[in-house]
Amino acid sequence: MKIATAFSSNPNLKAALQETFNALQKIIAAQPDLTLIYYTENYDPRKLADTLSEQQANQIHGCSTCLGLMGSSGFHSDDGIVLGAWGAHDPDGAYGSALVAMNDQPRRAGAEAIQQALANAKRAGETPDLIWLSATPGNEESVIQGIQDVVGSDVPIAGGSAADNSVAGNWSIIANSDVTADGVAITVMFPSVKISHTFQSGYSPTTCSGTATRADGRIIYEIDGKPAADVYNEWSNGIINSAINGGNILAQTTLHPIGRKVASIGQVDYYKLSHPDSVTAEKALTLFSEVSTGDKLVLMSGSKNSLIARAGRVAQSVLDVEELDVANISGALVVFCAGCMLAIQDDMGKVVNSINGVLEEKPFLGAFTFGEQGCFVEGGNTHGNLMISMVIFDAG
Amino acid sequence: MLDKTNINDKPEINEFLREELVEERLQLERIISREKRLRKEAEGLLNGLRILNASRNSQEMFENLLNVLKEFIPIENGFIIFEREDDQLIAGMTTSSAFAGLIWEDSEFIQRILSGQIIAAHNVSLIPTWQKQLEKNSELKVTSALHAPLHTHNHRAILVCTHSASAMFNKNHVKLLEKFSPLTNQALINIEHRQELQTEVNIQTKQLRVAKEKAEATNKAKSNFLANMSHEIRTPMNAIINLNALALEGNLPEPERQYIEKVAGASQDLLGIINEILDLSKIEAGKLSIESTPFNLDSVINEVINLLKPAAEEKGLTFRAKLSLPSTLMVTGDPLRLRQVLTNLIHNAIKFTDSGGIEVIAKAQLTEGNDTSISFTISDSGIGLPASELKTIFQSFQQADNSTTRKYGGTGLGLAISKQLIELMGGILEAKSIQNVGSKFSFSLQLAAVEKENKTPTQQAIADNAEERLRLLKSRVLLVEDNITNQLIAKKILERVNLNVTIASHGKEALSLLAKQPFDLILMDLHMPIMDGFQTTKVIRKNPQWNKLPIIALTANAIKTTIDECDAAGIDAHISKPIDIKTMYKVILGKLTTEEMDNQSAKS
Repeated sequence: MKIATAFSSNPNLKAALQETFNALQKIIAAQPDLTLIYYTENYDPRKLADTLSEQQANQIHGCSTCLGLMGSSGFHSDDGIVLGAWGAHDPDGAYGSALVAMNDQPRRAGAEAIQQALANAKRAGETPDLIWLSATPGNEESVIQGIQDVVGSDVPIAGGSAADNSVAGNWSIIANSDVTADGVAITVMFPSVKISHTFQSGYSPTTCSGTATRADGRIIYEIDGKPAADVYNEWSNGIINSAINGGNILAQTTLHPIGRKVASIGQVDYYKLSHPDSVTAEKALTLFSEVSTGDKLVLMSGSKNSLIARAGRVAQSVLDVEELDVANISGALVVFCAGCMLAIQDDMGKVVNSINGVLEEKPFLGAFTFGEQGCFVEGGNTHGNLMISMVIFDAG
Repeated sequence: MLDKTNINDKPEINEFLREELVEERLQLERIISREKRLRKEAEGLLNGLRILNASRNSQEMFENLLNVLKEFIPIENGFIIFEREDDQLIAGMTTSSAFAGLIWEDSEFIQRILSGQIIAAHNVSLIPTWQKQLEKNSELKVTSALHAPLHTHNHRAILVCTHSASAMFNKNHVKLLEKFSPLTNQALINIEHRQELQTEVNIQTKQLRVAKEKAEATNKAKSNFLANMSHEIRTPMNAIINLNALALEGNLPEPERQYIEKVAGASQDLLGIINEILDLSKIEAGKLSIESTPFNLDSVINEVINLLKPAAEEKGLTFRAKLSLPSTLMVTGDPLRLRQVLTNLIHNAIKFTDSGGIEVIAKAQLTEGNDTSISFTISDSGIGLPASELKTIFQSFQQADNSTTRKYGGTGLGLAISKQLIELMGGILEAKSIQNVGSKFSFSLQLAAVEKENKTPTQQAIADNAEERLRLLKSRVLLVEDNITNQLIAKKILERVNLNVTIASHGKEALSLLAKQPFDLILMDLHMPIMDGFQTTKVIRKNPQWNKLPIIALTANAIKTTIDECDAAGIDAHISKPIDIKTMYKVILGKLTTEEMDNQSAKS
């Protein structure tokens, strides 16, 4: 299996594509069996899909990213314009991509998308090694449920939700020639090499905790019977004072998400994170992931330094746990929370360095997403915020 | 568990270090968890190898393999698809009969597995290869499956683990089977090895069966040949012997009478030789069976002595018989064969003794239970044998040397037959001899004693004077016989004792005659055209009017299978050809008087 990545910040779509695919072609010397294309909102997804479909005979999976991309060559974010391609030549493997519109039925969309992707991979009925997911934000939990309805809960799902540059809904997803701003794109992977994956956060729990006494979907109305925003503001020592009666709090809360325990490994608990993005007029907190009434909530704490070091640390943990030899690694895919990226935007070069330090500059593509999906070792497939999801392809 | 912290009083650097610590702890726990999992898998692998080696057969080994895998993988059922020499794919070992013998079509899916891929399927009904099986076999309860290649040096196969629920197998199970491939491959090697052994055993068993069947067929052919020979020889012998006997009853002039007497003597010798050859053949074919009937031991021994004593005396030899047994001793055994052995041994003693005498000793001694040990010794003062030749005298066609045959005559089969008859009766025939001094033959038999003989007056009368009694009965006899010569002989023998004889040439004619007139007894030849003796008897026995009519078979096939067939058909007794006139009268009288007594009993 050969993996290559290429990036272009040429605002001209065709020119950008030409540049990236020329670069890919140089490295893998063949048309990719699977192309993952990530792009900022300035590129018209319809044109992108059409052009890609004309150029590429094999499977294509696309998703919009927030402001930039990263790869072993660095952090690419020229005025919020970038297009990156991750190509894999793997004639002994099998890949299939499919896109299904949400139509307010995310669970059904997830189920249909996985079935179509398997059929496109010519592997209907078979269980893939990994499912790469790009959903438009809002219903990822239901989408995961729909996928699991078909293939079970033990097939790892990794990926990240489509993003735009300013949370204005300008996101989109692509699969082969299909495009949508509200749907699910899935690629099933049956690679000829070993896949390792991890899903982690760099945050630690604080002593501040409570129970969601009233929650619905992605809104927490009350914690321990009190308005959720008041409780959160008290826990965080007033970091959302300015928006306590309503307003956007995305930037303030990046280092203090709400955590829920997923499982324990040995004596250590680990958490999935929910990123509060706004306060409603009734002092409810809105989030990028669902919370249920009765959920135990913990205020988590992070730091810029930990966010900068985390990607490299996550990569290292995969190598250690799976006992991978870097020399055998073909490449990697990284999904990095857009919120985290925004918090450490100026230090993204350091993030890339931390990954390169571990993967020794093997090709990888990192996108910045509005929600991350991954598979906890003990906790199954999860949609979370402020997370990092990583997949490493190892030919060893 | 790490202490949780209050975010208000922690500087950034501490926050970072604490996060690092959490990450390190998580990492450590992940590694510990992985190590535990790997250890469990390694233990499972070792346990699996141990269990495989302890399995007694292929099926047990396969089930044990699945049991090992079940600790890690949710398997409901399993089976192995074997790729045969002719490329056919067929399910062999299985935990469920539903999969047994299923033939799988080759496909891209199958080839991927055979070439090394382990494939987990969340829904097999979407896989064309499976779709066909599920359509053809509605009893298959499979939704998800795990397929793993198995390899030996020579063959490929596929291990299939199944579950009725969907999505039961995943990448972890695939990885596990990859790790367990040494175990699963070893299982296939062991299974193949055992199957090869089984195949070899099956081939050998088949070869043995074919050889056995061939031997049995040969034996049967030999037996049939013997039966035919017996029939073919005895029929003309019947004519020669009995026509001679009838001729001698008339007033023949000399020297014709002498000629006929010589012919009669020679034909008796010939019959003796033929009987010996047929006996030996029957023994070798395993067709000679020893009967078990009650008889008076003293009578049998005396009968032989009385028969042969005159011959000894004619040669000027002394003949002494020391019988230490009660005259009423009844034992269970085969009187015919015992008589045959004693006759042969005493006859030999007389034949090979020119001076001195013969001594016959018989002793009976009660042993455990009802058994009686009877020992016989026949000694003579004859020519004897050198030690080197004593070893071979019980072999067929052996006499001391060829000159013996020339001088004394005989087939050289007598001792071989006697030895084997004694062995069939459970004894051992032993010989001692000193050349020019004499020989001694001895044997012992364990025979069960039965209640003392209590001859009824009728039986005694039969034994005493059958001929005279028959003359008084003037019974009506239907003789069913196709051979004109035999018709003539039998008719003459029967008419000598005033029996009224009507002849039928085959069974159908006999039935017709029976319907027209009454008969007291039927003499039935067995092999006849149109309707044979067995068939005719069966028809007669079905008619209530005739079902008690005595039927005596006249058979040249004096072997046990023929006699058994006679019994099955409903024949009451049989007389062997060549007909011994005295025996014939005794048997006929026995049946006529038994019938008479039965009728009297019924009347009273």
